[in-house]
Amino acid sequence: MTNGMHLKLADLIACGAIAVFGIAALMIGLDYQLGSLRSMGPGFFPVASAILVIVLSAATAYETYRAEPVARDVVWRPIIFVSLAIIVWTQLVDRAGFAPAMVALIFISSLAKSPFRPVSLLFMTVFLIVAGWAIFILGLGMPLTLFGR
Amino acid sequence: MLDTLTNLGLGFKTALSLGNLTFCALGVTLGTFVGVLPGIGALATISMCLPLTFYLDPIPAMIMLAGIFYGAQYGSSTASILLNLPGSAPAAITCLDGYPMAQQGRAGIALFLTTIASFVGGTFSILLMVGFAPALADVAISFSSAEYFSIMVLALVAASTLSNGSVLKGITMVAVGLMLGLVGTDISSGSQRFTFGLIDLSEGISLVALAMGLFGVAEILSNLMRNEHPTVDAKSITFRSMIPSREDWRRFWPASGRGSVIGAVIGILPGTGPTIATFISYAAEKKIARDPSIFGKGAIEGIAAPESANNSSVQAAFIPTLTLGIPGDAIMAVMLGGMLIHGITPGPQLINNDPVLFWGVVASFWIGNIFLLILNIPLIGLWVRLLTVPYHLLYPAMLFFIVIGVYSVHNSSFDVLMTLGFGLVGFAMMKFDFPAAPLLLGFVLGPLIEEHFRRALILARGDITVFVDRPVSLGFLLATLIVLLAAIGPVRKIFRRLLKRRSVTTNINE
Amino acid sequence: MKLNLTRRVFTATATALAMSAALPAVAQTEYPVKPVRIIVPFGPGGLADITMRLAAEKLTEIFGQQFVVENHPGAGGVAAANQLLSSDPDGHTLVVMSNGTTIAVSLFEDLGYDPQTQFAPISTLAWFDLGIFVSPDSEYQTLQELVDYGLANPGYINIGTVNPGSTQNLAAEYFRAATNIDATIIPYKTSPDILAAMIRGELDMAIESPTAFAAALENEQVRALAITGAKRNPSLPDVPTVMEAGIEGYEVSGWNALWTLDGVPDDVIAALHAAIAEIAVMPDIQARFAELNTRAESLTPEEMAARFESDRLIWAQVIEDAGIEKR
Repeated sequence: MTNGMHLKLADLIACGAIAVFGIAALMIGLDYQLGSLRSMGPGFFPVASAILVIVLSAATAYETYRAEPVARDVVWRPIIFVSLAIIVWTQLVDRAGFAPAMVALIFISSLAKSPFRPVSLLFMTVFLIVAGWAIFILGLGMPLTLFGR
Repeated sequence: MLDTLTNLGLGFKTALSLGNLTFCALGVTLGTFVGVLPGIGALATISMCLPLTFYLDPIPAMIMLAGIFYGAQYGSSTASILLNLPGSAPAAITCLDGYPMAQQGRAGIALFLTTIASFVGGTFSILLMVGFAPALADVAISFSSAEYFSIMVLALVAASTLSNGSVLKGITMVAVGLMLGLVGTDISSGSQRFTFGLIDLSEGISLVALAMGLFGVAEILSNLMRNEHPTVDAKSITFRSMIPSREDWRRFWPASGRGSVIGAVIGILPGTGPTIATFISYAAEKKIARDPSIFGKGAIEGIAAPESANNSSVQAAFIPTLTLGIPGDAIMAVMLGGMLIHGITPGPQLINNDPVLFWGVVASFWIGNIFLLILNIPLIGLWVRLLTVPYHLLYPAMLFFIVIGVYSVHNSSFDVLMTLGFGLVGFAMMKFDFPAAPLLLGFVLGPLIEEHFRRALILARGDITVFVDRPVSLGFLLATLIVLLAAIGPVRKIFRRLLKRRSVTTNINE
Repeated sequence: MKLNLTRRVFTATATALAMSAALPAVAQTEYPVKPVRIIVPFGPGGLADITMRLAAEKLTEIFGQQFVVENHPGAGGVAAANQLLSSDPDGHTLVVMSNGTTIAVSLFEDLGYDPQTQFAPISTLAWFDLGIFVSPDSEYQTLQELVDYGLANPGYINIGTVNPGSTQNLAAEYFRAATNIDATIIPYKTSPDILAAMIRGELDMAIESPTAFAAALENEQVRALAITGAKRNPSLPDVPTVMEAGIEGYEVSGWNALWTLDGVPDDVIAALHAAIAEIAVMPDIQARFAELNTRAESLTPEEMAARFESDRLIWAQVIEDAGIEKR
């Protein structure tokens, strides 16, 4: 039973997160002019949508509270490495170029799950970079450089 | 009637010339490939190819650019089915039933059926264009803001039932989508909303970043946490395994037909776009299904209807562009610009002033659709082989295409970070059973609803009854009311009974 | 290394220097020593982008160095301005700022840059008009008829324009103030949306550029009542200007101009100005601009600064009168 409550807590926190999102939006939205029916201001829809989000998240929380608890496991390793891979990519692509950014993306992200197979990864990376360079830079003329800025 | 036939003959004569055929094939092939790639889409490709077509005659130029556009719609469902990674936002809905089909070993059948569905949808709108283009365009632009508002509200209410599970969670996600759609410059006042002073947000959140995050990155994360990955044995991919069964076909045709009609209706309306068309057609299938629980588990109807709607809407979008010179979206605006550079003025006079161009281009659409059929069916075997790649190699490659695809839209690293952010949010949503599809539709519809609601009220000088005074608008609002009532328990029972009776009669008719 | 200028520019520069006696005599700077970036605050394909690309080709020929156009779109031209502000004041980074900037300085609470103090004007390049359009079957044959009707029927007239804060939109506010009509301005997302609304009969008039309505004019889906520029538009010779139509002092012209960072050596600015002045009168440039329904004309840095200030004052007043909230 305690375990059930514990599981429900996670779900309730999820609903709470949505509610916080709605409340934050409402606070910001109230700064915008509401206007009148004749000339509606930029604030009307944000406020209305934010209230909708808050009310619905409360209703969902009630629904969750009434429902049977469900176990929801999270493994952090994929989240960390995939996030890191994408963040590093965005930092490298405009500075170091397309190729180094992609090498970083592929190798960092591949740490998210075993097995880590550097040799086959390397082959694939070379293939993808050549193909990507041909499609995106040569073919579609994207303003990227293979190496450097 | 005879006139139309003569004109069509003229059109086919033009479109079937060797040069035009070549450019048509070139366009649709290019389109298919950019369609398969996530993120990078028809708009970027057409914008980049436009300067190249300045050296061509106007007819092959138009044929090629148009080919890229509708070709991309054929390709966009491929990755949705195989990898749960939509090639473009409209194809996100195809993930819902296409990916489960692939997991059941029916990827070949799904790809085969979506190709046929695309062909059916495209053909349907081409026939509409041949028969009734000017009349339809007139009807489409007679829709004022009040009508747009009401039709979008209907779409929004339908959206909440897109996914399985809790309806309440679906509606909550619609609301969150509405909220996210408000980020950026407000069209009606010019104010910046929820941009936190960031220039990158002044044009709003990128639809591609949102779709790729919620569907692509979130799916990768969730897959990485599973222990086994269903890989397909290369030997099991035979031509026979791609052929749909009799039962598949029986379920396919009516859904494809309904999808085509919904796609055409939405496609003709300027400013709507294929994402709305695919999502609505899916919602409609689910609403009328005798057993809605089959959706999300590999229902044929769930891929047939949206894919038909996708191509039908894209092809129908040419109707207002060619006959009135009013482009419905950014892609059509680029095409229109291309025509103007070639000295062609799309508009009411185009059919009379330049029948060779008009009918040639229309005929080429159909030829292009046949090309796409010939191109895509043999490709299915090749695509399905993608599933034999071990997942530890596949997911870094998917991330490769996601980041570069998202980046390509605005050449923006910020958008790629947003994709990651939405990926994490999408993953959390998956974990807690909050569906992503309603959020995406809320995001697309929200700004349209606001824009038209506010404009309708300005035009009516603040008189809210404008929405019920106009008969078409009233009709859509009444339909919305019926959908809402049908969602309430006791009323639903009555509806079910009525629907059952109707479906029995249709069975007898068959 | 010697001054890296072709003979043509050198003469042009010399002439410019001779003509403007006010310019202080300074040592000649080596320019350009590397490719020059031209930052355009709009996406590719628009009028500012196309005209600047045409000019960039010519600048490349004249200076023998690449002039590369980069698009950095974003609200208020902030993204483009930031590119310039983060560059060195050596004239190798230029920015295009338009009449839209004269609006933005008053419209934004804090734009983050001030072209009048932080930038140095080089030259204007493209000039374009706006038009006042009505439906072809509209009962108004002249602008005066429309104004008279509007005055007699307060709250009746609907004016369609694109997004609030655009030159078109403020030109409509300006029109409302100049004529004292109680009209309603209806914002639309794109000019095709306005065209559709016009065909539907939703609008009494629209303010839009004749370039955006080129196809619609040809299709006779709209009719031009007046042109907002100081002079008649060569492609619509029968259409009077708003001033000719009886609204005194009403002039709205769009322009795109080239700026660089304040602190760039005067001789570099003079060389760039001379080159643009030369490009503006080239027959092929004039012809291409005419096709785009725009006009090439170079103003001197002093004239340009004065024009900026006078436009800024007009828009500041319009924004205040219309009660538009700052962003």
